[in-house]
Amino acid sequence: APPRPAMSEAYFPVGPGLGPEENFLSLEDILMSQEKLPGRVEAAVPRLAAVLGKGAGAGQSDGVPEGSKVEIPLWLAKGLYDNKRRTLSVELPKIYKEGWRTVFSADANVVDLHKMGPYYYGFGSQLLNFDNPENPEIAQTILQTFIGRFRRIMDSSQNAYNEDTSALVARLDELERALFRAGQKGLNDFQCWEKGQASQITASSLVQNYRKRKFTDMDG
Amino acid sequence: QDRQAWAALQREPLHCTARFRAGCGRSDATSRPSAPRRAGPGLMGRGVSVLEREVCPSPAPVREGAWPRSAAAPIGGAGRRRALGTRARFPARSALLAVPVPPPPPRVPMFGERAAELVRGLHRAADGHLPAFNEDGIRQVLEEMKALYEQNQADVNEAKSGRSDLIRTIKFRHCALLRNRRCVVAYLYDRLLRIRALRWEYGSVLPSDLRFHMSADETEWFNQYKKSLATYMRSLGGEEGLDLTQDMKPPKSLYIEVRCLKDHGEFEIEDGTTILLKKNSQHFLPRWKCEQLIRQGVLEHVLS
Repeated sequence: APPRPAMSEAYFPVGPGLGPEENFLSLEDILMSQEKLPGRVEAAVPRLAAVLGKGAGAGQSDGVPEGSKVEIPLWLAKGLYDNKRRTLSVELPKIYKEGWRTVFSADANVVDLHKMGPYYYGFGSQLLNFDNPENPEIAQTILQTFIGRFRRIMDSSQNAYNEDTSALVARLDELERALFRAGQKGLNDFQCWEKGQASQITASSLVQNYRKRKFTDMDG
Repeated sequence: QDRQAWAALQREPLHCTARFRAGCGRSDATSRPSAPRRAGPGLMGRGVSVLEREVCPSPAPVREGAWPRSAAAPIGGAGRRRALGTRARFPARSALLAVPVPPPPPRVPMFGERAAELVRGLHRAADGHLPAFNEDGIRQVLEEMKALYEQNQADVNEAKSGRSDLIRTIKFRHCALLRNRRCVVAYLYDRLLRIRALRWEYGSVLPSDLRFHMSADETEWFNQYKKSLATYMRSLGGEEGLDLTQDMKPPKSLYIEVRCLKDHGEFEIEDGTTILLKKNSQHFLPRWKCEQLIRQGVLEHVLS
């Protein structure tokens, strides 16, 4: 039987940034910064009520009054925020607050991080950009959660060969899933080498969908 | 400014009611920028007024007789004064429920949502596959950017002539513009990375489906990239150059056994002989001639 084609080996996407810096070109960081967080308008913003979901009953060009609670994407929060909180103040989403932090410290392995917004680590790191007095605790929780869960991810990714892994990755957040995939790739490459298939030329994985079509003549 | 407007209105109550009834629904911001808009009693005034009554914190002092009783309370944010003389005498709640409240206006999409959809669609194509170029999506994002830019230009002019509170609105739209730009640039860049991978993993001639997935500019980019790569490879290793896209896996022998996965017609090898590549036929061929066909899925490398 032909060996399973490898993942694309020439496609190197821009990965997410580390810590409080995003990578401008990273698709993952863009999707992560699309996630919303709660905030409060500190000074009225004229004419944009409809866009912020406050347009009910009023007209399309009413302003958002001071004091309104809003849910805005992270990119907007970062753009409008300043140290003196003149336009916007942000709140922590509940999974980064005290209550959930205790849950994480009790046992990080049982939490479904995919459901809690699939970019738990990335989004949490971005929250550190807003000066919140709880920032050191948040950072500590994120780190400890990762440490607590990492071992299981590494083990399962190194031992699940040729099986359906959907149950294993269901409760992982995106960063953990990337780690899992890297582990699987390592495992598959090693098995391939052990079987003596390392020198076998394989079909490009990018070709799979286009199998049925005709190919034109090759040039030189 | 508010007080003056109210004072002026008080002097001509009947005129005002008529004017407001006619003018309700339009935002005539230029003449009286901070005057509240009022709903006439004939429109959804009643339904809204009750809500407003609950929202407005403190009633204005009552002045009986100066204002027609049917005038509704003003719509506006916290802190606005209610119409003088209307100690609210609203119909009973049950009567209100009978009045149909029109559906809320259609949800205005938040800025940047279409751009995020663009990125999401590309991200979903896993493992470097190249989906079709989302021309519609790009066009919509560019239209949104154009609208934002024009609105901001207008608001900047207004801000210069006094309305400094528009600064925040302008900043808001500017963030959205930057966001849209980022999404579009990242989208285009990631696609180029996938197209580049195609050259290395597949070959220099792409199947027609893939070619249809690329925009004209991307095709141009691919051709230029091919040329750059070919020039570079020719400059290596002496006269013949060096094909870097070959031998991606360490070669163990000069000749390899291959099986044909689909009909591919005739195939010529160095000594002039032609081989017919028919489905399921097996051949012993030079590795360097087969590598590309294997990667394209025409042949299969059989290990002995």
